[in-house]
Amino acid sequence: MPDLDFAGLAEEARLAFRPRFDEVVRRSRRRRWWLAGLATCAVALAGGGVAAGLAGGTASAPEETLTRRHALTAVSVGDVGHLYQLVQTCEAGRCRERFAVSGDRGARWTLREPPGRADPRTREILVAVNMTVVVVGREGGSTTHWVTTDAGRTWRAGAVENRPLTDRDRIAYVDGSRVVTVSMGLGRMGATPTPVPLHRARPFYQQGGTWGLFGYAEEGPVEGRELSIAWGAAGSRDWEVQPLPADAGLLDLASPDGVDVYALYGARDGALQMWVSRDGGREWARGALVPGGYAAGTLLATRDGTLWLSNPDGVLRSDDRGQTFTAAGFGSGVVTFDAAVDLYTASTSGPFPRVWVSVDGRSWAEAPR
Amino acid sequence: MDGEANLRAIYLASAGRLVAVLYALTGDYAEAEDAVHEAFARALSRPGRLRGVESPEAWLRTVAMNVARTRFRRRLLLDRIVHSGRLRPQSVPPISPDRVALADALQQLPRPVRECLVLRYVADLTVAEVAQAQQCTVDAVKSRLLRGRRALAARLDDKEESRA
Repeated sequence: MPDLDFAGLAEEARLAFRPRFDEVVRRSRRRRWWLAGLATCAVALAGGGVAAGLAGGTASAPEETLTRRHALTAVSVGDVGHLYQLVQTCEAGRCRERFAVSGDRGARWTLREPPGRADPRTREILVAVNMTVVVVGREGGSTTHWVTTDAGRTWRAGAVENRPLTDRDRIAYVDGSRVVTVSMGLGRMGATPTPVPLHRARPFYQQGGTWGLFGYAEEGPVEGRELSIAWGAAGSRDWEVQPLPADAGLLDLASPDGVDVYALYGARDGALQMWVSRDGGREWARGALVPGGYAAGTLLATRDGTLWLSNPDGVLRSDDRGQTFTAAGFGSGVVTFDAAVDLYTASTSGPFPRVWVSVDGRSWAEAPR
Repeated sequence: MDGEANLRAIYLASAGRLVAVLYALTGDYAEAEDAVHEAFARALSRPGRLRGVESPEAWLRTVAMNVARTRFRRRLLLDRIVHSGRLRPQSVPPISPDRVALADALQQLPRPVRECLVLRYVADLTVAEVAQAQQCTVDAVKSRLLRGRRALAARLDDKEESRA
């Protein structure tokens, strides 16, 4: 009987092998590239959203998926299939920032490389619309704005172009007296042709080409004066300025439609005072006085008319335009709200972050923790 | 250590063994290398897949075997379509003729028998582990091993006799 030397076969075949890990890396990149292409085609065919989870990774770096994470920022929502968050992961004593993306409303998060240098720890998501996201990175005295149009797979430094703005432009940030925008899908940055008539302005509303900013109409030596709203449109040279009820104590502003405007102020003894306008801020009336001890809160006004108020005791809801509030039964501590065209989010950051989502603006569901 | 560095360490430790197993299964050294690289590439594309796996090498071996099986079926189908025999020429393995003869003889065996022999004697799994991998009973594995060794011996005997 001949010798069935399996051990010799195994040993010789093993020794004949020449390791080529670069071949593995090359194949992996090609594979992710194909999967990303397939996902894009599937999204295009299905009208979007269906195959967002098909893409296994980036063309540039391996991805990991996780559920537990240490969130450095609140959730920014691009649309129902794209939630974003800057998170921190630690391995073998080394921690680093990652750009986390969820395609299933916060249940699982795919980690991608954030833009810029390894760990500046000063990144912030400024705006997210669909797969277009602008992140600011601050390090030392320099500030860089990074843009992605593929949900964080690739990034490029955003440079403000001299171009006409369109309805596809979203406010990314306000730089001094000019509003800097990013165009959805293209990621091109632009700026308003004329200065904003407010100092230290910040956006609080943008919908259907209408923009709402708030800031000080007059600059003072320490604090500004005449805290106001400025309404404008993409590319418009004209701004309509309306004063807010008070200069001091503003905590948050919200508007569902650019007509009803809600302003949340801190009041005495840590209570929260709601101010309501039915005409875009021309006239203001007092709404509910919400007792509390911390004078901290955020607002969300949903398109169906519900007003949500988050304070340290939880989330409250108002169905009568800010006149009365009742406990909503979710939320712990102050949550940060965000809104996209088809999804609302409420989230917390830190080592045990929580995310709640709402499609209709009336009922909320918490993502698995 | 990140996912790629982890996988590189696993690759350096186990890729040679996996190629040996795949070579014994396919009889084609280039195909074996290809399947193993493909398995590692899939692991690198989705690092989360390997997390929580008790034995990464076992997982990679299963993926590589599945890759090889799928490719074999595809090649068989193409072969039938064009009626031209083997479409892809086998590569010349960089090992001695006796080992090549054994690997060739393995290819003459039915696939379940071949897989049992290779997993037991080349991958060095226990009979119970082979049974688990093959999703059959321990007795079935023992029976296949016995039949396989007999068939191999007969084939290699015939070869030696015809040479003489």
